[in-house]
Amino acid sequence: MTEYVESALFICPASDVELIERVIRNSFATEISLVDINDFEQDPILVLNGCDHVVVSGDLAVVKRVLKLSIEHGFSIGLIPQEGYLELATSYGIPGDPEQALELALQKGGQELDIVLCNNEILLYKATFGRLPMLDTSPGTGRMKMIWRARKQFSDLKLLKFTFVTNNGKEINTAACGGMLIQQHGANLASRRIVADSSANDEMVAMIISAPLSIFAYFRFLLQVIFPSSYRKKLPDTIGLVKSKSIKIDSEIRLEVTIDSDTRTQTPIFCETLPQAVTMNTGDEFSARIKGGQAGKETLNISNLPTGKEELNKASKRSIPLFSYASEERFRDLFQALREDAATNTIYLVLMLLSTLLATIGLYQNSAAVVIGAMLLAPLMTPIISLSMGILRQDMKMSRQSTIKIILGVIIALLAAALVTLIFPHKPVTGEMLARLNPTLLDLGVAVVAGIAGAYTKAYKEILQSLAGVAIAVALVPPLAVAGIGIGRLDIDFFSQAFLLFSTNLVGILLAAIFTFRVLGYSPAVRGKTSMRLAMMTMILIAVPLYLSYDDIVDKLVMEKYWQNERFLVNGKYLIVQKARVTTHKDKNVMTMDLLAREQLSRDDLTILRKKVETNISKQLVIRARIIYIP
Amino acid sequence: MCKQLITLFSLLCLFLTGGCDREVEIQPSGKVIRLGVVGPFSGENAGKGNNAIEGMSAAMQYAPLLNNGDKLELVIEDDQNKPEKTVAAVDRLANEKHVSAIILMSTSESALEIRPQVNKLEIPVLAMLATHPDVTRDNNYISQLCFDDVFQGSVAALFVMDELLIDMAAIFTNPDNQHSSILAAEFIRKYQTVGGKVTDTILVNDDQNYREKLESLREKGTRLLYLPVTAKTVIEIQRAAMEIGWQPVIMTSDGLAATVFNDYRDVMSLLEGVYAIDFIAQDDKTIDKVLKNASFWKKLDSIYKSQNKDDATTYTALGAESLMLLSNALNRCEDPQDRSCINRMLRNTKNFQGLAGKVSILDNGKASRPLVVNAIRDGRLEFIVKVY
Repeated sequence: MTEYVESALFICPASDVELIERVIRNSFATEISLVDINDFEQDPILVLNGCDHVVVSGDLAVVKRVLKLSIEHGFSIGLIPQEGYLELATSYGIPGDPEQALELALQKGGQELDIVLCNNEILLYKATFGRLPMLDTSPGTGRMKMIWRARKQFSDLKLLKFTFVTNNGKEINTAACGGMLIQQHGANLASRRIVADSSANDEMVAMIISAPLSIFAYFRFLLQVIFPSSYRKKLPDTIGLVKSKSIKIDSEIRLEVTIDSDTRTQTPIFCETLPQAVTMNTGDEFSARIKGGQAGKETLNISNLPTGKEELNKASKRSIPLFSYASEERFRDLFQALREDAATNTIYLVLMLLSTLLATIGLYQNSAAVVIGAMLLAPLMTPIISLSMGILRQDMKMSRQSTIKIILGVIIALLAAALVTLIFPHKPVTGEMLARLNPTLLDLGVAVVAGIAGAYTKAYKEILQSLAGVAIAVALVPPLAVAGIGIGRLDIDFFSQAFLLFSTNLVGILLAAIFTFRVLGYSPAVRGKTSMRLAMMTMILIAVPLYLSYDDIVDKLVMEKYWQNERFLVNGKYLIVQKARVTTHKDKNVMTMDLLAREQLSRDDLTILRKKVETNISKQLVIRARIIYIP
Repeated sequence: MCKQLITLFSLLCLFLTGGCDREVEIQPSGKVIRLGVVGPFSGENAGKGNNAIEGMSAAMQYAPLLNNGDKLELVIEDDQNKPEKTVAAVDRLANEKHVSAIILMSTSESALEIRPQVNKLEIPVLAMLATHPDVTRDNNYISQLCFDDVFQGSVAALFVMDELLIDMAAIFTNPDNQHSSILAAEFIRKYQTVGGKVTDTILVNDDQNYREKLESLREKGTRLLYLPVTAKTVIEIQRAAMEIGWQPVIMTSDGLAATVFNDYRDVMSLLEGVYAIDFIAQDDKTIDKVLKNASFWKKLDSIYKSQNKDDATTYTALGAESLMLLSNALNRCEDPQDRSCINRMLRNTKNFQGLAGKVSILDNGKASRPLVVNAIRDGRLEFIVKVY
């Protein structure tokens, strides 16, 4: 059976006549004495006069003033949240209905709660310092205002040096863009996700430290907050978490600290927990959440925070980049593996030779299966991935080694394929070879996607087995083998077309892998301006001929597509364009059309056809027609 | 160094933006060149004339002046698509209004009627819609903008046979209409040549019971109906087919979609899936290809869209195209009032960029231009193939 206090003081703005009336005339037989907060603060003992329960209805500041008095004088508190202080009601599980809230406020036997003091200010929900775009917004802020504010914050998001000292004397030197001290973890989405096991009577104050190495990483963190995975138990990888009885925070520059979106102070700041400092009437849901709460252990989860020298050096006052950077310390294994991939060894040379021989024979056999086998055997992908990392990190040694390895592989492939061609008595041009003589935009697409996949699989050991699929998709050795066959046939067009396909693949993979490593956060923490310029210049130099080449490819594709819906009526004969393909031969664009015709075509018919095609094409084309007769 | 680079970059930008694609502004000469327009602006064919005039207005807004600065002015005569009225209108335009050339929007009957007259008057006429193969015969002054009926009839037959793979067709034709008769005759001739079987040829008249005819055609194994008849007749036949629960493939002739759009819009859905030969497509596949290559068509399109809520019809497109093509001929004459020169230049039009491909006019006045086979989907002409 619910018991109610016999008497209570009531602190409320005098203007709220209706509420005063309702509280005084309450139906729980509680005798109410209306008091002024200022009078109460002046002489609490006199005002209390033996009463041990105070009901308060006011803004956050008034509630905190009452809480401070409660710490000193030990009376219990009942809350009737005022309109506009929804956060206060929800965080303590207090009903929104005034009558129900009044009933709860007048009940006996409240919940003992910890109080956190930060620089002697009471912290009820959260205190933020530094910058936490989208997370440090005050309740009630409009969505547009929040986005606008976040946009400004993102543009100047910096990592600053911080020193945190816990109750046990553990000192943490790190760099972060900001942090959040949490007393009531239910008051905020981020804190609910990250410190879900905290409670308001575990004698701890929790602190989330945000140290994103890039804007991209911060966005990823926001997504993790909004869409948490049920299986994800670990912290988001840009977040550190500290739980302690007390935390001292110091920063390299003085930072504003906002407590409960209201009070403001500055770093350095000292926050300490006063265990079970007040007794408050809280809602059932809140009480259930903290039931069984016991004194927690100091927790330090700071492995995601930058602590290395290189990273802390980076943590100057400069804005953080769009994409992450990485230190040698964090990804030592990956860099080691990539360095090993960059070094030329006998196994690589032998595999290169074997895969080329296999590809060449498969090409002459016109066997797709054998050619795929050669793709699987080919080891050319690994030095290209190493080269991309070398370029990204301006690691001259890795770049030089992988470049040499690629060049050696290319020379072996060209020579081996040429030699096989010279030895073979017959040199047929098979469909498998023709397929590699005209690189199209789709080949570039394959190279780019394969480059991304290659870098991705390299970055994550657990999916390394997918590298075989990547190798098949990108098919580096077959075009090289065709180019080698071109050398063996002493046909420069044959060689150049196939080598163009190989170059397209090479550059596509390289650029895509650089981009992927950049997005995944493997660029160096400290970048030399000269090497950056050099990398940019290389990119531009590579991009220009590639762009010109692609422009040509796109033109061809558009033309091929265009002509597939065209028909001709030539001297009463209906010709259906089934397929059109544009190729380059001896510096001229050749359009080969597969035509369906019912009647025999004469020389005159073909001349008229050619004229009709030429009239409707602005480019110079040599027309070739392949006639398929309809019986 | 930095300032020098910025200056250099700014100059480069100025050069690039100022030097590329800048049109030379033409100064008005103060002289007016009158062009006659004869067409149906009242009566049952008024939609054709009014659509075409909208296209011409857009073209006039895009290029109101010739290259020498002379201003174009249209003198419009309504002939209600009646040959006797066309003769009178041409006479008035040539002798009283002193126009330099005439655009004829009326159909083949009118064009055939004025053949001796324009030869005598020595006035160039650009026939916008007349597709009869004899329009250009026995005269030197009428040029066609359209492909002729022989080309259209042949393509229809061969498309049905070789692309739709249908070898059993029936034809509905109106013997009183030359356009319909020629298309039907050419279709039958070509279709049978390539092995197609014509199950029946039905002559349409006002009190026809299409249900009976269609029942009979269905029994004969007919799979396609070729309907080179009026939009009204096509709708009646389609209704009758639906009533007996038959869904044959239907192929129609040029201008059908535009006429239905103008005059029978509420029953447009009846024609869903019907094949229609035309000069353009409305699903942007054809137009887009042209627009990418010809900035003037793109601007013309935006001008038209700013003036009208409705889609441009075939007649609108042909209206704009005829005026642009005639202006092109005028621009190649030293004196844009010299009728003889205009006629010569009209018949020497080579690879003029039209809305659905290049248009040439041969010495004999016939047009060489692609034809578009469409299917009607959601009330619009959806591109299937283009035939050169």
